[in-house]
Amino acid sequence: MNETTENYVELRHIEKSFGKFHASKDINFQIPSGHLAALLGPSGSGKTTILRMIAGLEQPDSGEILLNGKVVNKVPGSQRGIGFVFQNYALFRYMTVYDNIAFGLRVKKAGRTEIDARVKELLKLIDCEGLEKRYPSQLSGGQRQRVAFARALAPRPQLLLLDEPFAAIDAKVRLELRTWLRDMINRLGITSIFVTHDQSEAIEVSDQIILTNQGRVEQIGSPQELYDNPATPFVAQFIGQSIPVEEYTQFRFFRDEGPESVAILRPEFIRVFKKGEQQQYSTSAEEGTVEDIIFRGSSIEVRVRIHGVLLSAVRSVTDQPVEIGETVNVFIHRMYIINGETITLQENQSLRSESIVI
Amino acid sequence: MGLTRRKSIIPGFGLSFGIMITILSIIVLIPLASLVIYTAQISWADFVATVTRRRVLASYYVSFLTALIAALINAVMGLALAWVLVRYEFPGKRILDGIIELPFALPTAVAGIALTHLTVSTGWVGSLFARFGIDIAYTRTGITVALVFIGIPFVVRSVQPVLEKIDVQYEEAAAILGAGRVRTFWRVIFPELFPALLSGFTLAFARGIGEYGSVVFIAGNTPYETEIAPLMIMSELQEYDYVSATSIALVMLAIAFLILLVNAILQGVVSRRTKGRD
Repeated sequence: MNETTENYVELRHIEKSFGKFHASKDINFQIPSGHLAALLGPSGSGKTTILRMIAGLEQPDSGEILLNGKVVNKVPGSQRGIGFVFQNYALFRYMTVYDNIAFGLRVKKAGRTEIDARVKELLKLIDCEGLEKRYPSQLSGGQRQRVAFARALAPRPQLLLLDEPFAAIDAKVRLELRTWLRDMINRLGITSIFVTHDQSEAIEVSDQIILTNQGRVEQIGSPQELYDNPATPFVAQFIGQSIPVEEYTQFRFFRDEGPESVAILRPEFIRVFKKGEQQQYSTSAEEGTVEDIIFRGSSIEVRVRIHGVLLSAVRSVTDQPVEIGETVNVFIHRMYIINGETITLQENQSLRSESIVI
Repeated sequence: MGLTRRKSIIPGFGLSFGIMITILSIIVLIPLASLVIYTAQISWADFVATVTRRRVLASYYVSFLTALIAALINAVMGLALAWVLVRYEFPGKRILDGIIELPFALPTAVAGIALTHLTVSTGWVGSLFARFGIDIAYTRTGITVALVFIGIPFVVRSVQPVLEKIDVQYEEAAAILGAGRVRTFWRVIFPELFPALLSGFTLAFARGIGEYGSVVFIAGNTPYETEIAPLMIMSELQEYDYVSATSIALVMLAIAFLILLVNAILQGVVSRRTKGRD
C-alpha cells in the first residue's frame, strides 16, 4: 500500500540530452529507504548526469523524479533534503573546517548553540576533532573527504549523493575510506547513492548496483545478482575480470551456440592444477602453458595459454607454486555465452557425470 | 623556501638568480639609487622644505585622492567586466576581450587627448553632463576618468584568470546547502577572487598615482586644484631645478613602494590559508 516509505528515490522515464548528446535514455529505477546504491558504469555512460538530476543541478527533459513519493522536478535542489559530496569535495578554501561544516546550518539560520553542537557532533563522527580551525589545504585527502561528508550531512538530509567519492584519494586510503563510508552510512541509516566507475568499489560498498551504459540502465540488482546473473552482454563483460573468447568450442565439454556467439570467461570460472597435483575432474581437464604469474598479495593470478587463447585463473598463495613455461591442467567450470543480445550460462558438461562418479 | 635544493625547471639557481639580479639592477635598482644619490646633494632641511611646499602637498593630495577613487571604481568595474568575459558567451566576446588591453597599448597622450575632447563641455559626453552643471574636463573628476581608463586592464587581467579557474562545483555546493546568490558570491566566490582583486586594485592605484601622459591634458593643471604630483616633477624639470624634481620623485617612489609593500603583506596573509600540504 504505502510505497512512499519503501522507495525513497524513484526515477520514471527520465530523458536528458545535452545538445546532440543523449545522456539519459528512459531511466527507471527505485532505491529503497536506507539503501546504499551505486550508479556504476564506464565514463560517459550518464551516471553522473543521473546523480545531478536527482540533486536538482540538472533538469531532465522529460520524466519524473520522486523523492519520498513526491515529484520534485520543480523543487530546487536546496529544498529536496539532500546532501551532496562532490568529486573534488568542493570544500570552501577560505573557510575553516568548522565554517565549512557549519555553512549549511548558518544558511538555514540555525541558532549559534545548535550549530556548535551539530558541528562538534559531526567532527566526532568523522574522527576529526581538533581540526576545526584548520583550512582545507591543511588536511589530508582522506580528512578532506570526511569533512565534505560532514558538511553534506550537517543539515540532516534524507538522501546523500556522492559523486565519485573515492576518485581523488590514493589507493591505500581509498580502501579504508570505502569501509568507513559504508559503516557510517549504515549506522546513520541514510538513503545514499554514489557514482563510481570502479566495479570493485560498487560491489564492495553498495546494497544495490544500477549499472549504466551509453545513457541506459543495463541492469539493477544486488552485487551478487549482477555477478551471477548478468542480464545483458554488456553486464557480463563489464562485471568481473572478463575475457571474451570467440573460439570457445575448441574447449571440451562446451556446446556450440551458433556462429555469432562469443564466450565470456572469468578467472573464478577456471581452475589451474599442477601436473600430478591432486585434482577433481582430471579426465575433463585440458593442458595449457603458464605464460605469466602475477603476485597479487592475497592470491596469485596465473595467465595460461590454452588452444592459443590466453586465460586468467587464480591460485591460492598456499598452493604449490607454478612456474612460467610449465605445462598445467586447466579446468573450465562454466562460461557465459553471448549470442546477439541474449546471454546464457553454460556449465561444463562433464561436471554432472563426473560428480556422480566421485 | 626559495633556497631549498630541489630540481627546478630552470637549471642552476646560481645562474638564474644572477641573471635576475642583473636585470633588476639595470632596469630598476640602479636608476632608483641614482635618484637617491642625486637628491642627497641637498640637506635634509632643504629636502623637507622642497617636498612639503603647499603646492606640492596639494599635488600629492590630488594624485592620491583621484588614484584611490579611480582604483576603487576600477575594482568594481573590472570585476564586473571579468565576470562577464568569463561566465557568459556572447557575440563579439573575443573582440571585447582584446579591447580591454587597449589602454596598455595606446600612447597615454592619445588617451588623454581623446578623453579631453570627449569630456569638455562641448564634447559628446561633456555636453550631457554640462546640462546638469557637472564639469568633467579640467576638474578632479576628469583626472579620475582618465585614471579609470588607464587602470581598468590591471584589474580585469588580474581577476580574469582566477575567475576562470574557480570550479562551478563551489557554487553548486553552496546552492545545494541552500545558499542564495548573494551569500554564495560574498562567502564563496569573493574570497577566492580577493587576492587577485587586491593586486589588480593595487596596480591600478600605484599606476594612477604615477600617471602623467593621459592626465595632463584633461586635468587643466590649476594649482592646488588639479595639479598632480608627476606634473610638479615635470614643471621643476622645465625650470631646470633638477634637485627639486628628484626630491619630489623620491617621495613618489616611497609612496609607491609603501603601497606595493602593503599589497605584498596582505597577499601573504591571504595565501597562507590556501597553501597547505598538497
